[in-house]
Amino acid sequence: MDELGKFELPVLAAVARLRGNAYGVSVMDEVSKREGREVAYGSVHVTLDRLKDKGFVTSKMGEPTAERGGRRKRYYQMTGKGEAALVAARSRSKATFEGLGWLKPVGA
Amino acid sequence: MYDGGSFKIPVMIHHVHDDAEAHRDLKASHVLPKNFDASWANHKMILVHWDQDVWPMDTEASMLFQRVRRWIDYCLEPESADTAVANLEELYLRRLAVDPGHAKWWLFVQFAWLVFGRAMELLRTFSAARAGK
Repeated sequence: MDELGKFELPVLAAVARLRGNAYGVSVMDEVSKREGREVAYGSVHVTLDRLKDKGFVTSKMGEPTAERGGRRKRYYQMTGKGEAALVAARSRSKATFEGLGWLKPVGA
Repeated sequence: MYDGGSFKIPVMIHHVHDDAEAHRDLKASHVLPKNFDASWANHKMILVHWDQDVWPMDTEASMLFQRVRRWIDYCLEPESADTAVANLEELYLRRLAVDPGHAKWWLFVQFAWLVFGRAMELLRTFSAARAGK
């Protein structure tokens, strides 16, 4: 199974979190918010394309809206394969931090 | 899907003096004012370029975006380019509203990221093909 890359993980997690409203701009905002830094749209766009190629997400075009001058949004949705990859990534992360419960949160 | 050319739309304009004013009014609002008069005498047909004049961009910002857009069309695959341009336009307008002084450089950086990302993808595909994956 394809593994999630370093930046693919937060992008896929953002798609999963946004559910029906995951398009380029909202995904970028969500990733920026969670990562605590401004991320470039270009990197999000390319990552979404790659996640699509890997079969972790699917996309479909939305209806045109006056809000964007008639331009349609491309909405992304996580697939079963994407969900499995996200669950696997969470397990790996959990395993990495096992036995390190004594670590104090930042700023504590 | 719209092919990117021009089209005509009816727009209600009060006290129209010239096309420039008509464009300004169109940019100012997409919704009808409260004192809307449905009479056709108050309507004027004006030529509007898709995604060029309907957004409230000033001329320089709009022209810059069109130039960047053309380069994106060259660099990315058509489907990917359409999505990138639409999202970038939304973000660019947001940037123009909050930080107009740096919007131009911001746009260049985003474009550079897109091109760099695309180049890396091509390299990745090429490497995978060579490795027989």
